[in-house]
Amino acid sequence: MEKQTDERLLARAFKKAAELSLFVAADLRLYASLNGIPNEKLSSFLKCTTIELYKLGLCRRPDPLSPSFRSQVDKIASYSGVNGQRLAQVLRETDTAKTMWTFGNAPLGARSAGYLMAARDKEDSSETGRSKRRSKKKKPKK
Amino acid sequence: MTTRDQFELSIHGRLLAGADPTASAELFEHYQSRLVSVLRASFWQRDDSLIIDAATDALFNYILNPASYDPQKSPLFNYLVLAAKGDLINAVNKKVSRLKTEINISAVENEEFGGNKVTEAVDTEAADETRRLRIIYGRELATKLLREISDPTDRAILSLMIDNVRETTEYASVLGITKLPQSEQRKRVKMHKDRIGKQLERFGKRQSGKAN
Repeated sequence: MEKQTDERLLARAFKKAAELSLFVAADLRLYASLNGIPNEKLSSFLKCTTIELYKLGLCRRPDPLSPSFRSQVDKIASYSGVNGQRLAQVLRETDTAKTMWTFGNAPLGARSAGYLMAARDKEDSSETGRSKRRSKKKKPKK
Repeated sequence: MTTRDQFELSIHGRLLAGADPTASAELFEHYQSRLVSVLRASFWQRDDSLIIDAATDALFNYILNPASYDPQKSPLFNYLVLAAKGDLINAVNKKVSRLKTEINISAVENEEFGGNKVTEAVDTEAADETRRLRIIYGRELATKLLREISDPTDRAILSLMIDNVRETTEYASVLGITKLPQSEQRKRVKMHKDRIGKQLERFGKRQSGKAN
């Protein structure tokens, strides 16, 4: 009974933590949405129980670029009881996605739209270049 | 120094340093459930989600700004309880004013479009209920109030009023009059709610008289 109550409380905290980029929960949510994994299947992917997943989500996210990344992942994995390799994979993948996202300066769902805009810009500039060249050609020689 | 003191000092130091990845989760594991229990015991608040949110928010606020806590002034748990109580009172006040606004809007709508008398009467009562909510969420007052309203049926009706239940059927089932025609049910429910409302008003006046 007490365990059930704790799970409900931790679930609420996990949900809130997922809205704050400081916590692993935000990365878990992002990873799930990137890979189309339902939230409830995240625990089986990370080889842990639901409570362990909540505890993991409430940990501070380690920076994959930091030299202490591996040791921090190990510490989190051993505290929360999740698979360390899978956790490192999740954090690296979400970090890459966030970096691409920042460079693209577009919301995640619109990443492809960002690429399309870039392609269109490129096309436009080459079009402009072509038309400039064409207009140069068309100029009557005096 | 007790184990609890040691945990408090250690977790505070780890959060202040900002480099320990598991400190925030350990804080939740250690305090969240205790915090919720203390809030449940101190407040007569039926909406449990408000209590859980207040406890959770207090912990997040501390994690995000650990320097706001001064270990010289009080134990960490007392600090968290105080913060959570403040959050809870704010949340209850917000909920009450939101209910009031909703009720005001529906009252205006009824006036404009000529809503029937029964709906208007229910809305007026609901406005009173939200005012009463303000008066009675303190535990001490709640105990006094329960002494005042001793009849189990009246208490059940009061609970529904505090929870802002509007459906006549809910009250009718408490009163055991579900087999009566709906108009008669409405009439009897209104009569009971009016009576309890007057009792509450008298109680509220007595309490504010004592406070003055």
